[in-house]
Amino acid sequence: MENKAEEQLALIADTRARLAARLTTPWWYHLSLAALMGVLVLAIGLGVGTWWFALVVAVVVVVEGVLIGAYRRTMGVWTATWDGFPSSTVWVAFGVALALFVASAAVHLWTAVVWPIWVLAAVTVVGFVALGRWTDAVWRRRLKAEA
Amino acid sequence: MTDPAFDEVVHAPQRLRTMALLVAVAGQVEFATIRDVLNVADSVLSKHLKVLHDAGYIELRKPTGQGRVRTWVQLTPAGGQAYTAHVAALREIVGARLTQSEAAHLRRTARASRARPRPSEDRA
Repeated sequence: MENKAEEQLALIADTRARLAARLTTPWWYHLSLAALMGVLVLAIGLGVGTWWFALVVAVVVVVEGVLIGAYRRTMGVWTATWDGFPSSTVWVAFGVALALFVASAAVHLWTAVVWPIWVLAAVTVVGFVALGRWTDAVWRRRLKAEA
Repeated sequence: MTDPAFDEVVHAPQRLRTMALLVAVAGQVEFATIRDVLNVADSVLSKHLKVLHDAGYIELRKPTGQGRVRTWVQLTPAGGQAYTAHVAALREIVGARLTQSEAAHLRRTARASRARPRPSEDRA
């Protein structure tokens, strides 16, 4: 009986390990998502108050939806709840995005220089690629650790 | 709280692995992904998914209008409870505790089952 139970628990561990090995996000996903966030930072810093600002934000939202759909089809997995995802990394991403948006808006409102906005956009792209990879690593590590 | 309970439906190895995969993802998983992770034939997986579906442990969705029709599989609250109770029974036998994600899943399914009336309550 105990051996059978151990066998079943080993099967669960093996399945989680196989899943962890399969969860490799396509290279274009984090890069595209980061580029979209960079475009948002640029739009906030350069476009608030202009006619094209809302248009750019709408395009970013639509493209992000398409990107998520492509991710879902490619990976064959979609986590719909916070419980299944390393939520700490998601909150870090939200915090970083908010800080970059606020910084970009502050530069736009209180200075006449443009170059810091481009620097912020570049930081956004690099930061979100790193955050995406970190999220993947945390998820895989957790799947393996609990196997 | 779900009491440890051995479940004959979950017990079959391929069904146990399917349920373990769905619990680990805590979302939707495509048929082909489950097949690849389990390394089984389409027909074998279909057979086991049918058993799980008939038991009310999984939901099957086939969204149309997006090119090739894909089957997405998701655990139901009843399925989550059955799996967690089964794993709890296994761990009780070997003297181990639930993992963090299993405990989280247990809390989630308990919340969902509190939110949804049971079939017997529907009839009452």
